[in-house]
Amino acid sequence: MRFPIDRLRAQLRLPFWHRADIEAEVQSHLAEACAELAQEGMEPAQAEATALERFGSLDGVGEALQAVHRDWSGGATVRQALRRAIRKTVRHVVLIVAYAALNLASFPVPFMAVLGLSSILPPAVTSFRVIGWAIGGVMLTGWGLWSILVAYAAVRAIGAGTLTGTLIGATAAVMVAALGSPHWHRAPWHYPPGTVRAYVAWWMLASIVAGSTVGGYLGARSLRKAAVESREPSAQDRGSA
Amino acid sequence: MYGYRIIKELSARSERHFQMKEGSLYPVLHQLEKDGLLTTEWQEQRGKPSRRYYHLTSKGRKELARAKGQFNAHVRAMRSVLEPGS
Repeated sequence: MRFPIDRLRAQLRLPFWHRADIEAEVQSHLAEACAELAQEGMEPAQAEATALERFGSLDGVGEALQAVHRDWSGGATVRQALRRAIRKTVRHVVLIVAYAALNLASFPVPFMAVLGLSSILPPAVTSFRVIGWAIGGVMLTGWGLWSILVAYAAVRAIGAGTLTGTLIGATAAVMVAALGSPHWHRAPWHYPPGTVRAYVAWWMLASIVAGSTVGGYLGARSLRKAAVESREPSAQDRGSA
Repeated sequence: MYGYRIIKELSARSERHFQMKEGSLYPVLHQLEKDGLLTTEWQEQRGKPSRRYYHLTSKGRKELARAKGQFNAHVRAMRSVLEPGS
């Protein structure tokens, strides 16, 4: 049964999908009321009229709902989405330019990692801060901070547990160390001990191992925290709504 | 709980003290949802229109506890004024 709720519809200046959602809720309410009245022995036509009467002024409810959702008028949400898309595009362009400027030999890997990070981090941690940390980390502390970020992103993307995440980070670090890096030229143990180059190479290796382990742990921990926060409310909570 | 059920519960628990126009509930629910105090989900019903269920969020639970505390304090204060020495 469809109830005549044109007067409510007329008040809603919302996108059609949003309006349909509200209309469906009102129709569902009226149908439920009508069914209950019919069960009590009321004639269908009378039940329908009574349900509508009990619901109250459709104009008034429509007006109040429009006031609640007034942000929708003029497509504010669409504008917001557009702004977000533009910001994202600008961010990626800045990333490309920044990495091109740094002229890093391993450009694609860190670029993809930062891209991943910028899409998964919570809003409070802005992407530009992450870019700043990543570039600053590379330039100031060798590969340590960078490794934290990469492992963090990887573990979050994989969805690993805390222990597994830490192990993934550590394993990745060892693999990177074993395979070497275009920046190292040679593994640290190939340099004459006590030379500056050997110290720098050992520092890089140590920072990658430590950074990846910490990053893996942090990534997994943040996932666990997010899972706890997004858990469905309990039956008791549902009862109180 | 869904809108119609909330109305019925409100009426039953208040022993029909709160009798309001049913439609007036929805703007309130939508505002609470917009404020992040409630979340909603549609549930299919066999042979009946779908229902939109409302659930309290963690923010909503905190706000409810705060409002309950405020209300109880208000009631205690009023009782002290109206029934001194009770």
